[in-house]
Amino acid sequence: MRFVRGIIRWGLIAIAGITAPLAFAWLTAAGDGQFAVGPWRTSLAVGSADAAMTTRTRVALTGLLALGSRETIYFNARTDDDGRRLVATCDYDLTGGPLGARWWSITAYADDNFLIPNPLNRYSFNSKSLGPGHYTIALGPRKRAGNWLPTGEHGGYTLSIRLYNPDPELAHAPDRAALPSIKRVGVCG
Amino acid sequence: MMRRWFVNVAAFALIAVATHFIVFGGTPYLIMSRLMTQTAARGGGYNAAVSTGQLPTAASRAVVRPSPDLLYTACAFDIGDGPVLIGGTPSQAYWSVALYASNTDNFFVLDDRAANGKAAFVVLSSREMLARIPPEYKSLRVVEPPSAKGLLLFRFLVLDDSDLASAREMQQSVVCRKL
Repeated sequence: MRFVRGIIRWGLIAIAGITAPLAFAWLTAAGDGQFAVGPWRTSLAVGSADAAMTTRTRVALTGLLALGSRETIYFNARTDDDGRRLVATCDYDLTGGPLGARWWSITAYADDNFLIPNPLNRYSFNSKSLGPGHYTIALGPRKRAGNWLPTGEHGGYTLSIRLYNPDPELAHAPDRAALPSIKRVGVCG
Repeated sequence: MMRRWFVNVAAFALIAVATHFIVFGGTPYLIMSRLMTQTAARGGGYNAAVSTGQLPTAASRAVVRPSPDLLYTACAFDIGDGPVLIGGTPSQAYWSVALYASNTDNFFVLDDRAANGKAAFVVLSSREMLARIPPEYKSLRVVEPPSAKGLLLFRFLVLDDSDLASAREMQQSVVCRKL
């Protein structure tokens, strides 16, 4: 009986010891230069020698070989404007205007952080394909008129905005960037 | 009773600190090490450029979150045995060359704007190996990487099919070799 109690005691200590730093890192992820603009999140510490160990680990797992923010600013969204997880089987309209950078792109990634297979081999839209004006990208599993970006048929996904050679105003105040909105439209399924 | 609590707390703290350093300290090195090994294997060794030639697709699984608008050329560099020359000749569209240390830090970037339309060549060398840079390369900019091994990544912009040919040409011009 004493032996079993000892096993349980050390097991609980080990679980707590392993879980605590992981939970702490998750809870403090908002630090280290990370902030949000609507559903879009970024960290200016990405790629920097000043990045915290937790930021480096996140980059290694979900954004390996990212450029520093002086060259490129990345914004990622995993929810719509209402905070609901982006789901492959739902339709969304992503609407916005030109972004403040020399060139920019909007790309969809599956939950495994790779491009989403689709019959058109279409994975992104960029500043050239969308043109200089206001745009709408139709996100969803079914083909829709206009700029349709396929999102697959299973699970969730994320979106990335890449801003290469950001304009000085954007580079100085990325928290005030006018980023596209993401609204769920129609029904899911 | 007090002693048992002390042992519990000390064991918890020890495991928590060890977990923190193993997970957050080790993971970036482990992932970069695997990528450098894979890149070197594809290039036939360190200090050899590896070009994809094709834009990333859903079948591209080498690195997470590839950009479908960029052609990539990579090189796993190793300056342990001496200086390494990296670079390429410029094109009209956006390109950049980024250097990454073994802990994933992006310690150097040069793009077409900064290169001002000129050929972009840089020598990677540790301080101890500076004397081994051949005289004909002494005038080039020298960059001292924070780790002996790391990764170079050229990005060439391809916004539509009309950019593809020039980006591929630029890929062919990339140099990554021991001096």
